[in-house]
Amino acid sequence: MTVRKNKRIWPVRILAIMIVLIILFPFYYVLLTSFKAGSSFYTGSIFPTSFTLENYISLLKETSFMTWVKNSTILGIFASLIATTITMFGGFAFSRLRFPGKKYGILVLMILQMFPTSVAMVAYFKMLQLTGLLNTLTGLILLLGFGNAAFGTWIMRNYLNSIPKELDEAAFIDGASYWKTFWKILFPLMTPILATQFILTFIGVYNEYMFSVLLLFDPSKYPVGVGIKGFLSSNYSTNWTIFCASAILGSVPIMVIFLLLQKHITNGLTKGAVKS
Amino acid sequence: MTYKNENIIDKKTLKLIMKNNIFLKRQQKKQALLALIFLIPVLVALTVSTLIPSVYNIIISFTNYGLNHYFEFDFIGFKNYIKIFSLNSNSPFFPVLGWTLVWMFVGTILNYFLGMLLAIFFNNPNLKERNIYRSLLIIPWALPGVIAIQMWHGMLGTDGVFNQILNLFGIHSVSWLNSVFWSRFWVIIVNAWLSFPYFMTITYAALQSIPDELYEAADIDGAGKFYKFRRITFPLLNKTLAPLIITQFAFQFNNFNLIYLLTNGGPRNSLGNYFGSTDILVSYTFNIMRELQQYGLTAAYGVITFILTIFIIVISTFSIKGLKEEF
Repeated sequence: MTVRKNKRIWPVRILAIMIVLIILFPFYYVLLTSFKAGSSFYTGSIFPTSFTLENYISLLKETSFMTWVKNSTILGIFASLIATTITMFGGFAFSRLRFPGKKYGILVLMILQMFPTSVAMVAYFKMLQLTGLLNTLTGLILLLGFGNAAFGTWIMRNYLNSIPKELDEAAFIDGASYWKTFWKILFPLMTPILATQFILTFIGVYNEYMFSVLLLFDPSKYPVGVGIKGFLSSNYSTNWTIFCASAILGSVPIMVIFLLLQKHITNGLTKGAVKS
Repeated sequence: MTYKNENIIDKKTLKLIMKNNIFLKRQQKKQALLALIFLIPVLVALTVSTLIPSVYNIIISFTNYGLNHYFEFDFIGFKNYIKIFSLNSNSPFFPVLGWTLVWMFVGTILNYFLGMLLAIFFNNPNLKERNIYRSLLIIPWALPGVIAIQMWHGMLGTDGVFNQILNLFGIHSVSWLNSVFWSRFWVIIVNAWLSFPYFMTITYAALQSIPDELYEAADIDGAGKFYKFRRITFPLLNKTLAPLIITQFAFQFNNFNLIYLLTNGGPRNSLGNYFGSTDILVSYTFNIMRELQQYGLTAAYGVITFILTIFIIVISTFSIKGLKEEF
């Protein structure tokens, strides 16, 4: 019986492996190219022929890649900190406190979280120009940190709703204020969602392209995603291997963080959407 | 003893007492004030990032603000909108909108079914090592999209890897991104490549929530594999995942990164004609802003995109609600 089953599973297994190989091919190819010597762009070898770290060395030494990484990190960390703090308080209010207009507030949040910020690009441009924040990282940080407030609050609220109310009610009866209840009881329980929110915003900011390219003119202020585009548009063929190196260096840290926290991220995302 | 007393005070009086209870009132007031304090950051953020820009954008859309009227601009009424909607002046609006809608539907539906298909395929209990495959398949989702799309752009170049593979088989190179058909084909494929792991993961989670009893009951009734899928798996999955599809529609409608970074909206017919065959509304709007610098027109496009997005959210919410009740 088991032998027959094993035989029947082999075609499925071969198909499975083929699917995985085809889907991962682009990534594999870029990884491979990043280790190739500069001129091997035209030799169509799919299997490794030579191995060199040349591309990585010249990427780090001759280009502003590290500046872009620094910019992306600054943008990501500060925008995420702003977003996480704002939505933490907002989520608490919507989950635990009673106030007039709460029902409509939740509805408004639900609608706002789907609004595309990209449609108001002219307005953002003009707003930053008026406040003197055009071409500064600060302006972009504020924009990106504030931009996701509705979605984040919505996620936080849903998470807090899944924590039993009896916990903080007990503390409240014991004489603790709301403020104290929030910090002593709920805040420690919220760490998973806070981390998720932080990482999600960080990745979101890292993936942001439109506003970065619209609101920053100075190449020394570019984040990674915008900066590496230069390798593709200028002297295309000679820079292809360097581009691949930058793509790998620029994406592997994010990829590792994502894969490690994948369970939390999917939980946070699906809880936010399915629970409605 | 006490339960009898309840009858003495009728509901109206009770309400009145509750209403005039100073302690309760004070509590409510205190809580509302506290809520306001907790909500101030969110309110500020939403005002700065959504409310002011939206209103400002609407105002600009009625002006001729742009490169030629940079320092002083006038209100020109509905001229920008008339220009967009006019049929006789070859306004690019309708062709771009048409492709945006096709892109949105094909993108979302394809990603959804591809993810579902793979989730079901890799849910095969006889495939002992299926968790390894699944973790590997998450990689496209884990890669930062902004970089992954540019990777694809490079690979689809005339000397890129896909043409190298074709050349190996003796087929001539195709300039993928210069052909209307192929560039449209590739934006959809690359989008699927980037998004299927998300759908695969949520479908997989939803699959685990379907009770085994349903399948057992179907087995007893002698139902085949396909029948079980059509009658149990598929409807239940749709029911669970429907809300996620709504957000996906709105997201794909405005998926700027993919279009802009992969094809830049192109191929374009002629210079100075700023709409390309793969341009969706957002990427086209971006190009008007950057290349033509007609900010008033850009803002008008923004307002229209905004209204359309709300429209899509409302329609998909209602139709999916109907879908939910049907199953």
